[in-house]
Amino acid sequence: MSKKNNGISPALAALTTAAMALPGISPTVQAAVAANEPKLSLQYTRYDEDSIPSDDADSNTGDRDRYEIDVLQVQFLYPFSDKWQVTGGFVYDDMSGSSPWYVRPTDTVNATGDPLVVMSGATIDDTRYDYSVGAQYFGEKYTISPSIGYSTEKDYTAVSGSLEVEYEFPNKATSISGGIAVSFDEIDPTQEAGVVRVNNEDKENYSLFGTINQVINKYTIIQSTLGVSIYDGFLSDPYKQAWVAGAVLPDSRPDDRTQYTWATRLRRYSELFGAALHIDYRFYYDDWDVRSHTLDLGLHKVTDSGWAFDTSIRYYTQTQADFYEPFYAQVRADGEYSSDYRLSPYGSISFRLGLSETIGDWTVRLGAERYISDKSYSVQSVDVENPALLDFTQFTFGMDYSF
Amino acid sequence: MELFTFPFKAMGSPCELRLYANDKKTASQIANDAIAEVNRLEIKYSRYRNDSVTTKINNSAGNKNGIKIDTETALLLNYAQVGYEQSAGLFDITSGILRKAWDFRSNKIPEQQEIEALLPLIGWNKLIWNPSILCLPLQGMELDFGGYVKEYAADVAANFCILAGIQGGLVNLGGDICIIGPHPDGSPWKVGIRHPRNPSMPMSFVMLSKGGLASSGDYERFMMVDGIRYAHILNPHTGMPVNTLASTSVCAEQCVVAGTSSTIAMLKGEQQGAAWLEELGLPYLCMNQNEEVFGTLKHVSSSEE
Repeated sequence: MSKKNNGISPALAALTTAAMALPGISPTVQAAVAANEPKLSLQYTRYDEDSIPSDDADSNTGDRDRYEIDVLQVQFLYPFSDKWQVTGGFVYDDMSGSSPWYVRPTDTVNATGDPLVVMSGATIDDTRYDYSVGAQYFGEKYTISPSIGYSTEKDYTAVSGSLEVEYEFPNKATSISGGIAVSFDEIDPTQEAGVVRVNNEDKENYSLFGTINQVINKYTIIQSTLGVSIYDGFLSDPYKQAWVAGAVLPDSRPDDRTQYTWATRLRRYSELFGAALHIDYRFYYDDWDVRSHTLDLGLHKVTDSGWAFDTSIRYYTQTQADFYEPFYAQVRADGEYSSDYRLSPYGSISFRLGLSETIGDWTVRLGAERYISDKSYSVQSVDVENPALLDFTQFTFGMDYSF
Repeated sequence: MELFTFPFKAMGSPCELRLYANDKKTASQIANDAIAEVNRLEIKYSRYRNDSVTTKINNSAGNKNGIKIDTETALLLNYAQVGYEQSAGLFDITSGILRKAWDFRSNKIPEQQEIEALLPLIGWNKLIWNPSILCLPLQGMELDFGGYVKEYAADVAANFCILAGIQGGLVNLGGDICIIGPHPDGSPWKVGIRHPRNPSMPMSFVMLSKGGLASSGDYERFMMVDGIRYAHILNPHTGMPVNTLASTSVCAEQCVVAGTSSTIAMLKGEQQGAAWLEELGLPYLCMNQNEEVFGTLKHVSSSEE
């Protein structure tokens, strides 16, 4: 080849960028427009948490079986014109099972030894109903997407709203978007004899994000997002407790939390594999001192016969919240206690597989995921593993119908 | 996998789609839709149709309020602007008006004043435009998208086939090629490059498994007057035909980039044109007036066949 140096010539880069911006020329550039036809999607998910192993549980604990959740989702999309569309969704969850209540040391007298999980006594049964409505307006340069949602279950109510604006630069290779989301949640825990629980508490959440999307070339797109999310109010788990120097006290966390995320997603089409490679990385940090890294590698391939095939592996690792302990040998001056496994140091790996096929107006989707977490998956060395770390399996079956 | 060939006529040239597919029905459906896209672009940007975008734009010349343009047209204008900037004004889609002076069927060289009368109407930088409005400020100004819409259409048709699931095939719009993908065994397509002095014969063959190939030459529209060849590649600054290279073929990731690069190389002439293509780093093949072939594009000359 005749290239004099390794760099691409500025003239060629300018022409190529202008060419890539032309509509219909690149498989990766898709201008935002309303869908052509109304669409209805139904999806059923079966989510199944592994039971707590008997070695990790208090021998007197209740049921070691954790949550099983059946989720039914209905979504519709209705385009009014090529400028406007509305979307709506309904989710019905039915959950049952026990959940980790608190963690105690094997030797409660000296507060030492391996931690053991004590499960909630009674099996919890709850149902959740979630309703959402949204709209998208596709202007010449801007896409504006407002949405509102309402979610209710026996002991919980949440009202939320969001607004997102996307701006596409005239070169069509770059777009930026920003959004705001708010949520107001109320919790009124189910009371149980002999357990002290809060009565009526609430929390608020405000989130902001900004995203840049850049088409690098015909085969590569990169997206980067910065986000901040602020929580204020009752952030403890009313159904969890902590073992503190022989006493069992309610889970008690700070009443505010600020979370920062930076996520970058790369999509690259590989001619060699005839498939698109997805590489996603996310960094998370919050003022409870939890830091996490997520790396997701995936492959998306459409076969000759029209099957779309997705597979991915996700690695996650986090550090613990500054006030977290599996159990507390001594009381803390700030009175903050939580032995929730979600605030503990750990790592996890999940494997996902998805298949879909479109036949006429129908698309059928099948998916499966296996998630396992462990202290040994953490990038840092973890002394004591929380015995309630989660493993789960999930199956999904969905159908979409385009009218 | 079977190879299906769909010949058709579009943009004043013989065209063809070659697609590998499992069955004829699938292949014809995709081919029909891809050809419909080529036809759509031809109708939209034809100079000869009263209802085309080009005609509407040209009819608006002199109207200071300009004319509303759609996104696709705006992006084609954006491309033209980049071509103009990168070629120091040689690639100029306002120069089509010179055909009012140059009639290549007349075998007559126009009078100098005829050409000079048109030059004030030429100049991309005279246009006033933004992504939704275009104004041709002077009455008589014209745009001609013909210099790159055919290559763009080849890219669009090829991409359409890729999105429809075709993995092997090519689009050929009158010699402007865009590869959909190699043969099923992974081997490249063998594509002929026209001989500028014997256009029905290939001067050489190149092997392509992706991207676009476009050629410009002095053989497409020309006249011989007193033994001198006057061809349709006109310098927008002088209004005169360029008379150095007989043909230039360029390979690029997009056919439209290949086409623009070969046109600009023709306008720059033998020395500067070749230097410019070298600088772009695109494989090219040129033939000069002495029928000497040179360039960086790997080829097999037809005599070596």
